[in-house]
This record gives sequence, C-alpha cells and structure tokens, in this order.
Amino acid sequence: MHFIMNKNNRLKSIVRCGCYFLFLLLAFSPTSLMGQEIETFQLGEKTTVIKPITWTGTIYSSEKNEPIINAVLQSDGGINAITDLDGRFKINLPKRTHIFTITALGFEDKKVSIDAYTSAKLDLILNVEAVLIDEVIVSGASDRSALKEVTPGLQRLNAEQLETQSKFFGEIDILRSLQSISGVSNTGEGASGFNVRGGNTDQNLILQDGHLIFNPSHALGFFSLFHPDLVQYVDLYKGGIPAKYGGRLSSVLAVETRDGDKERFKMKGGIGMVSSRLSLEGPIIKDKVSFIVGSRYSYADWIFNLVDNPEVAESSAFFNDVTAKINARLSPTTNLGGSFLRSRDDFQLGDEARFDYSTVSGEAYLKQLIGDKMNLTLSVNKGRYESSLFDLKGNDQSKFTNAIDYTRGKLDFLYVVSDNYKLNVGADLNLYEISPGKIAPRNESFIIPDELEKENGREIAGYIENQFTIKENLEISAGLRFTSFANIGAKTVNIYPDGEIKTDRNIINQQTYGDGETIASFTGFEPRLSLRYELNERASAKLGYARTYQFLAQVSNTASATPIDIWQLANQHVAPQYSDNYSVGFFKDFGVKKYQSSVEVFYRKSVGILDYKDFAQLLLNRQIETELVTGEGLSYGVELNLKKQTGSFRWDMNYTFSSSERQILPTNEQVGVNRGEWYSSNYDIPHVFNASLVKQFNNKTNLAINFTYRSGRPTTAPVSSYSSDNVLNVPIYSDRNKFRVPDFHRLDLAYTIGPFGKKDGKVDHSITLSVYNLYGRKNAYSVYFRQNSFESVKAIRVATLGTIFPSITYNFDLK
Amino acid sequence: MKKYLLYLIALIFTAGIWSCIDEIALNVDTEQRTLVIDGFVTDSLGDFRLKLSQSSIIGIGNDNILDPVPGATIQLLTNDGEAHPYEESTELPGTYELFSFKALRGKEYFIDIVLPDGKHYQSTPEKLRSTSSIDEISYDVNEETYRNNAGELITENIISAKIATSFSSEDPPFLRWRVTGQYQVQENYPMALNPLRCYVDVNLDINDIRIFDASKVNGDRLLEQTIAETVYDFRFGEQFCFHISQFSISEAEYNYWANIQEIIDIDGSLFDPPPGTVIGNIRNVDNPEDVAVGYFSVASVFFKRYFVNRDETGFSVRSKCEGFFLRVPFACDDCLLLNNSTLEKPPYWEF
Repeated sequence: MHFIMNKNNRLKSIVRCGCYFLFLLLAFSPTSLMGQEIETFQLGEKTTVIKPITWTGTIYSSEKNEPIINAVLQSDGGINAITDLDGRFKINLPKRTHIFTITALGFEDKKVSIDAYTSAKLDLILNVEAVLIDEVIVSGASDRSALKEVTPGLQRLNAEQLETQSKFFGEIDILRSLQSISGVSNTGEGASGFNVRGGNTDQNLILQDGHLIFNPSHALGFFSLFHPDLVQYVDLYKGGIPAKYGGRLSSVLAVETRDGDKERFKMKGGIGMVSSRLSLEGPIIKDKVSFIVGSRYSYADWIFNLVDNPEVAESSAFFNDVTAKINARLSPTTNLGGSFLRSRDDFQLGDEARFDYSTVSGEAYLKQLIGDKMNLTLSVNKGRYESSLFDLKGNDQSKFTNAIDYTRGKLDFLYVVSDNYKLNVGADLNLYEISPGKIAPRNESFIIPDELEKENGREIAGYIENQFTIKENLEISAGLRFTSFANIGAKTVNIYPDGEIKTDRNIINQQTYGDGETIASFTGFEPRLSLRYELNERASAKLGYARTYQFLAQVSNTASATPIDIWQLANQHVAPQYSDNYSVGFFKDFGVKKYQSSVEVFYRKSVGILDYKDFAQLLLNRQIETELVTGEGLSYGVELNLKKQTGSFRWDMNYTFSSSERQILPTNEQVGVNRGEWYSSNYDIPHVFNASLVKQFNNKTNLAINFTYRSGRPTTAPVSSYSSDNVLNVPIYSDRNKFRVPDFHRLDLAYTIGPFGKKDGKVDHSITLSVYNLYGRKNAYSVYFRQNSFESVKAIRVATLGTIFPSITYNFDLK
Repeated sequence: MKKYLLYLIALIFTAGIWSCIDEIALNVDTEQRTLVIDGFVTDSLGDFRLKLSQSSIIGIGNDNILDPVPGATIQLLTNDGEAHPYEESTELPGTYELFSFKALRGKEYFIDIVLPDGKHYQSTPEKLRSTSSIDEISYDVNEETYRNNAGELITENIISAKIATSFSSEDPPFLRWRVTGQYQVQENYPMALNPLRCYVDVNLDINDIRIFDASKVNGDRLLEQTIAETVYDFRFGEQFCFHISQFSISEAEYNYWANIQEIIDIDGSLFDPPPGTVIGNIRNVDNPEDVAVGYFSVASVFFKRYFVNRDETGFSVRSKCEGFFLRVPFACDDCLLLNNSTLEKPPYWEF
C-alpha cells in the first residue's frame, strides 16, 4: 500500500489535482492513528530478526512538493537528525516504537509514531503553516504554531495567505498584508514603510533573503518590492527578536524566496490594470541547478494621459522590479547559490517635481551540512539604495541625489546538540557608505553643484543562541548578541563648544580623519530571551525580552517616510539608539482547533531617539547635527487576537491598544520639544481593529471581506494666527502632535473565481474582482489649515485615496 | 464602449488621487493669544509705523481682525544709547509712529516696548547691511492654466516682473522684495463731457513672500529673478507702474521669512514638513519663555519704479472702460469709486 495519509483538506485537494507526490508512495503506510495529533507509520516489514535499522527519507513541503532543508527530527529517545539540502535525512534506530517531532521554519510541527522493524525509506510531508487550500483568510502565525512557537510576537505569512489580502488594483502586496496584523500599521495610504508597535519605519530590519532593504515601497507605499510569486514565507518578529538579527530597534521582517524547480519549467503571472507580473522557473541542469526569476512592471501612465488636466496628464507613476535566484546542488550536503534584486520607481508630480529611487543588490551563498546535526550558512551581499529628487521648473532646476551602499557578510552555524538543546552561533559584518547628498543644476539653472562628504560605518556582531527544552512543556531560548560599531573616515568633522547648543555659527574647529581612521566607536551587549510554558495542549504562555541597538537612522522631518530621506550613521554627534523590548503573551485554543485566541502585552523603552527642531533643514546640510535633537521613546500596548480557521466560513479579527510617546528634554546642548514634556510620536495610533471574513462557496469561488479601523494619527494644528507685513495669516501652531486627524477606516472586498484550467492540472487560471475602499471613505492622509483673507481658519483634509477602487486581475499558473 | 470604460476607470482613479481635498471640522479648543509686533525701519528717510496687537483666536469669526494693544511705550534704541520714541496714533489704535527717521550704517538698532501691564519686550539688535541695487527690470507674459479653488480649469495671461541685481560674492546679501502696483483709468461713458483719469493703487504681493539667499548663486549676479506675478488684465490697458522695493535684510530675518513661507505653503502633501511656530526676534526681557511673534526689521532698501505700457507686451488687452456696449462698466463714469484711487497724477507718472 503506497500512500500517505494526511487529514489536511488542502493536501487532499492537491492530491485530487493529481499532480503531486506520486513518487512518495513507496513501501510504507500508516496503520493507525494515535489520537488526533500523531500518525503512526510502520518502517519496514515485520520480522523477528534483529538487525541495525536505518530510516532514510525526505521531508517534503505539502504545498510545492519541494524538499525542506534544515527540518529537524527529534525523537523521544534522544535521536536527532537534520535534513540536508535535498530535504533528506538518515537515522539509526533501535527496534521499537519511536515518537518523532519534525519541525521546520514556516511549517507546522508534525508528530509521528514510527514502528521500526527493518531499514527502509519513508518520506514525510509537512504542512505549510496555517494554509488550507484556497484559503482566503488572512492571519498571522498559524494557531497551532502560535501555541508552540517559543518566540513571542513572531508572525508568519506565506504566499497563499498573502493572496487573500486586500487588493489595490488587484495586486497582492506583502506590506499591505502585514498591516492587517495586530501591532503593525502605517501613517496612512500613500505612506512608505510600516510601523511596528509604535516604532519608526527605519526601526524595522527588512531582509529579502540576505539583501538589506532600505525602502521596501513601490509607488509611495501602495505596492512593495517583494514579488509575491517568489515568496516562500515571511517572518515578522515584533517582540522577541532572535540573537541572529540585529541593527534595528523594533522589528525584523525576513522575507525568504524559494528556489526554482529543479525538474521542470513553470511560469506564473498576473495581468492587472496598473501593473503585471511574471515569474519563470526551471532546471538549468536537471536535478542539480535551477533558476527562478520574477519581474513586475507598472503602466499607470495610460490612466493619467486620459485625464483632461495638464497637471495630471504630466504626472506619472512607474515602477518595475526584477528578482532572480540561482541554486546549485553541488553534492547532497553542499548547496551554492546567488540571487539578484533590482527595483526602480519613478514618480512625477505634474511638471514640478520628480522622484526616482532604486534598489540594487546581489547575493552569493553557501549552505553546507556537516554530519547530520550541523548546518553552516555563509552569505555575502552587496547593494545600493539611491534616491533622487528633481526640481523641474524655474531657474533653480536641480537634481538632488543621496544613496547608501552596503556590503554584508554573514556566517551562521546551527547545531542540533540533542533532543532538548539547539545551538545557533554566528557573526555579521556590515559595511555602510552613505552619500548624504549631491546637487547638480539642470538646464539653465543658477544652482551651484555641491556634494557632501561621504560617511562610512563598520558594524560587526557576534551572537549565540541556545534553545532548551527543559521539560516537555517548558522551552527557553536564550541568546546574546555583541555589536561593535565604528564610524570611520575619511571625513572632516565639525567641533562645537561643550555645553552649548550646536548651531552652524558656533563651529569652533574642524578635525579631519584619514581613510579608515576611527572617528567614533560604540559597543553593546544585546541579551535576548524567549520563554514558552505550555499550560496544556490548548494553552501556553510566553515571555520575551530583547535589547536592540541601532546605529543607522533615517533622517526625515516629514510626517511619514519619503523616498529621499537621508540615512545617518551614529557618530560623535549622533549617539546610537537602543531599546529594551518586553512582551508577555497568553495563547489559547477553543473547541477542536476551531477558535484560537491570544493576548499579548508589550513595552518598549528606547534611548537616543532622533527628532527634529522646527523648520529643520536636512537636505545638503553640512551641519545636520545642528538640526537634530535626541530623547527617549516609550511604547506599550496590548494586542488581542481571535480567529476561526476551519470550515467554509473563516474569520480573523484583532484589536490593538497602544501608546507611542517621546520626550525631548531641553538641555545646554539642545532645544527641547514641547518644553520637555512627553508627546505623541507620529506613529501613536491608540486603537486599531482589523477583521477579515472569508466565505468559501465551493472549490471555485470565494469571497473575502477585510475591514480596518485606526485612530487618527497625531498632528499639529494652529491655535492662533497673526499678520506679519504683507503676510496676512501666519498660523501659530500648538504643541507638537497635540491633536489628531480623523479616524481611518476602510472596507475591501475580493471575489475570486478559480482556479480553473485543464484537467491535467498543468494550467490554472483565476480572476479576482476586488473593490478597495467599498464605501469610498475619504481617509485623511493629512490635515492642513488654510485661511483666506477675512475668513476663519479652515481645516482641510487631504485623502490620498478618497473613493472606491474596483479592479480586476487575471492570474495564470503554468506548471 | 471600450473608450467609455477607459474614461470611467480614469475618472475613478483621478478622482481618488486629486479630488480628495475637503473641509472638515477639527476641534481646536484653545484660547491661546500671543503679542504680535509688526514693524520695520530702513535707511530711507521717512515715517515708520509699528503695529502692536494680540494674535487672533482660531475659529472665532474673522481671524484676520487682531485686537490692537494701545497704551504701550515704544522706543527705537541704538547700541550707543540713542532713543527714538514712537508716538501712538490717535486714529489707529495699536499703531505707533516714528516720524522722519533714517537708520544709519554702523549702528545697531532694536525696539523696546513696555506694555500697559508692565511687560517689557525687546528685539534682538540688528545692523544695517549694505544696499544692493537693482540693475535691470524686465517682464514677460505667459499663458498659464491652473485649477482654481472650485476645481475649474482657468487659463489666464500672467505677467511676471523680473529684476537683475549684482552684489559682492564675498559678502552675498539676503534679499527681500516688496512690490506694489499702480494703474491709470480713463473714464468713459455716453455723452461724457469731461472724463477724468484716476490713478489706482493695487496690492500685488499679499501673502507672497519673495526672498533670496545670494550665497546660493554661482557668481555675483542674479538674473531674471521673478519678484511679482499678477494677471495681465484691464489694469494694463493704459499704463501700469510696478513699485519695487529691494530690502537687504539680516540672515535671521531671511530665516524668519523662509520659515513663514514654509508654513503658509503647507498643503497637506505627502512631503510636507511638520509645522512649527515661527520664532521672531522679540522676547520678554524679564521672562525668556514669553516670546512675542513677528519680526522687527532693520534693513537697507533700494527702490525703483517700472512702467509697462499698453500693447508693448505683445498680448492685447483692453482698458477697463474701453469698448463697452449699452451698460457702463462699474466706475467708468466715476473712477473714484475704485478702491485706493485718486485723481492726483503722481509726479513720476510718464504720460
């Protein structure tokens, strides 16, 4: 009997498609079930002869029929194995029944009972987390893994979950999807980046494989640069950040792309109203070397050109990106590969101004298995983010450019010491070269060409993380990261008198540092701790603590991040930022895996947070330190999650109450903000509610409804006004961020027909009809104040998207 | 059908992006008021006014009407002990006047204000900077299309007044321009026996800040700097005169106007800087936390007039009272009905 029993509906559907797993059906069969969770398999034929027994096999993904690398098999008898680059493993077993737990990143844990008789081959399948076939509900980590996962605040999404999110012009988007998770928000439609638990956008470490991403947004945040068809899974660490990650205060977003299929060519894509996407994958050398490449291209200009308005007709919004990956299996234990990412945006506002920004990054990596318990990963990345602002009109036409170049090396070593102990050690090296600004005249402009000195930084970190299973229901992950950062020459540094406010008029000296010479250096220990205590099969409690350092900050004095924001390294004037993150969570399932709930409380205190003086001039400023002020930040809140993930009607809802505040004290060396009193940060959104409902009508159609509500973000409003010479209405503003813009809420629908295609299952098509902002809510991106002569001040709401957006997207999948 | 579908899509999309600006109620419950000082002196001999008021409360009727502050004692002081007292106007409450004054180079000037309640304010002392002269004045007229507050597309001819100026590249000045206009109107009505001619003053730069930091120029000349723009209409139908004042101001005053410009330009765009309160140069002597708003300016000034005559622009335009049919246009039978008009021909008028 050659089949694998799996109760998962999704897998059943895949098997019905007739395209997966035929070769898995070898000499083994499940004979019985041990309760709800444990499947039982017989290894070999029953015999009374006692011989050494070897279990060989491969762990596959239920979703893509791909082998899973680094899956860990742990037995109740202390026998462990880790899968190689082909997902294979080999274990010697004594003749008896063994209970094995199989775990892998991005997959549900699996517990199996193996009745070992003779040596044989037995393959197993792990389910992709929280994924049911045609599932349209959107959630964070799967419910079971939320209970089992030791790290509090970890949210995982996979590609299929992403497909079910709100669609703006029919496009799937990772960043928009993340914003439906509790604790994640942004400052409004059209704002770049995202904010985690009240943190800044620059406080998120964003990685695609090993590529450092400095601006993940396309088209001012309506799309992101992650190609959805290439994404294997997305991890967002909101609270307990593992020691292997560092360099940002509030979160880590790690996007992993998948390898290309090593056996056959496949093509996938979608055609939408403003952009289309395509991905290709297949073998270069069958079973040895594969590639995958995906690209997206926008073409919104045709819509602009239809409009009888010169300002609109001269506007444009364009983006494209290419992501490519090659993977070579040199031996069963050695895997070599490389990847490339290029993303470009071009956004023009009428005939006045234009923004260009681009990301280019390359990676080479080596994955080496040492024995069956150790895994070594070495990666090297090099990339650049560059942005330009063009002034297109008048006699001061110019092009302003700034950029950041990085080189990154990472060595990671994972050792499964025993059933109850996993060790992860490694080191990071990041080299940064900041080009803070260059301006060049255009046409007949009077602008003087100018370029600021480059700034260089070297960040070195080493880490160790120990994951212990102390008792069956108590798991601890304890790590320590040590980071050393140096701001290095060549550079000329301004010297200011001690105890005085820095201004461009009180520079008393300048000091020049040679190439590679250390200008300022900082070190810090970052302890990390995660603890999970399983109260029973359906409830667990978690604790998390992480200290994080950040040596690279985005300097921006606009309400939300913009593509041209400058990156600033810690130096002798700008201290590094650090924060202490605490989180506590309680997770409970109700019914028979029907309802899942969780409550998480978080608290973060940050030191060295940057803010700005009023009217700070940041572009091309050789004394940028004179515009900055520093202080403390405090974020805290509670996140409630409740979801139902089974049946044809599923839902997921979450509510977050939080606070994000700052305090900038006036001192001898800086002016304060709001007289040194605590004030709301730009990302202080006290109430957030998200709800997703999905109705599966049959195998071919489903309807998804998403609703989101957020408190209005803080703003500064005029409280009085006066006249000054020929200017009649000069507003006097309130304390910073004293008021709020109106609340944000929006309802979206998506109706998907498909997949439908040929009976051989090699071609699938689907059509998604979606309506974004169903009731045309004019959500305020911002509020400004206008006062015409002899009138009272009026509050004017600006809504970036203020109407209903229907769209249609055609998707295809050639397997 | 396809065409209409495309138009529908475009309409939805563009309506979403560009039409979502509307007025909302935002409750700003406060009664914060601040002392406002509005005045200046220059190196040109003349009478100078200083207005003292309290800032208006947002949301209560007409915010432009400021409460004047009468009864203050105001003096212009110098670093070498000179005192030039202001006299309170008997006609305009809260307005104080300094007669026949001219600021001199080399001296530092600051204003000293004592309110009736005893609060004592002073401005930061400022020195006159060297005068920068205007070398050349020119203009051009262009057809421009824009969208008005009602969302309608408007196409108009706009005339731009421009100047060229030279300066020392070793000590580049900070410049500010104020521009007013004046035009003549010839009465015209049926059976007119003695049609009169009026001369009408117009404001050209309300809420229009024109400043320049000459250190940003590559060289020692600024060419074709636009200093005023206005609609090219009936006012140019006979003769129009630009009155141009070019002030050389301090760096602190330049920053003040740059900051004012920044906050009045805020329009809710994605790239707006966060607003702040513009700090001027006047503080309470006894309480540094008590900051008045406004700027007391000490500047050197260069003044020049420039006439634009009918039809020399290449764009044809009719005067106000020319070629009407049946109904006499407003004020064409009595040009003194126009605001700020006079029958007295200015001595500098060309024709």
